[in-house]
Amino acid sequence: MTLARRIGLSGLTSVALLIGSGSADAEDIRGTIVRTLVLSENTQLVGDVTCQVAGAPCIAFGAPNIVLSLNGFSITGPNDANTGCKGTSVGTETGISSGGQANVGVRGPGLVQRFQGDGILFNATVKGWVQGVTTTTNCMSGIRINPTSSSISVEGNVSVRNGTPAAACGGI
Amino acid sequence: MQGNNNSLRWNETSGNGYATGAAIDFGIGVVSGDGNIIEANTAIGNSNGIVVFPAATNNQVRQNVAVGNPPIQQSNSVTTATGVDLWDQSAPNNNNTFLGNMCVTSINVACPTVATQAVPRKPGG
Repeated sequence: MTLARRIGLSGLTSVALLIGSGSADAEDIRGTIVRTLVLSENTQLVGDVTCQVAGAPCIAFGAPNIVLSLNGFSITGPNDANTGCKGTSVGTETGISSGGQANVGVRGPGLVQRFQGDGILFNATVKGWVQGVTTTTNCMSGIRINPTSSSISVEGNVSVRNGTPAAACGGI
Repeated sequence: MQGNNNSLRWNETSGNGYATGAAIDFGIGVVSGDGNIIEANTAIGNSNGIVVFPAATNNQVRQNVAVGNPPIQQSNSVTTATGVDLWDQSAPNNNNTFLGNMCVTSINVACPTVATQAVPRKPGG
């Protein structure tokens, strides 16, 4: 268990749980995240995740060449279930950020929803990918590739009911 | 989407974007960037289907199905908003190409008069 992971997840008092990895090369996460969880190795969800991070990504990649597998679980932000927004969008409140790391990926199936910014953001990343993920009700785009990213593969995802009237955004 | 040399394939987008407000929202948007491929996706019931914005260059939009953008009630109740299935906002010398897409409404892009393809699905998916 990395220090970043210990910091990012809240304690047992707020019903967050962290269980040990089932394999030697992957971390398992579930429960409530209260500060940005920085990934340093292959990681998988073993239960639904609820995010209470304000003004920053819920989960961010902190190393290149690693994968986050959603395993059919959800990552849910704090926003309104119907509109995805609480007033205006907040670009820094991303569900999953590539964190400027190269060759990182998000593997579905799984759900990323209700974030004040983008559901999944590729930021200054080369050769990233996202496959089989459903993004919904995020206040900006479901999946966004920013201008400093390149060679990103976005395949087989479903993106529904994302967007804000204040910025050019939407599904992907 | 922004950035260069990205690929979007077999994605499904629906119900995205607002009809009102200063921004143009979309199911799939190439806001800027060069050399991207948008292929075999579906965009249905968004404020706009697939939009290529003025700053985008050398992108290929091919074999997508974009229909029903925006939904009928939005078209009739928000008459001040422009919403279409395919919209190329770029200048012709930006070299963005549209090939084999299925659409019903468009701006600066031709729509076929009949369906040319089945709804794309990821092979084996």
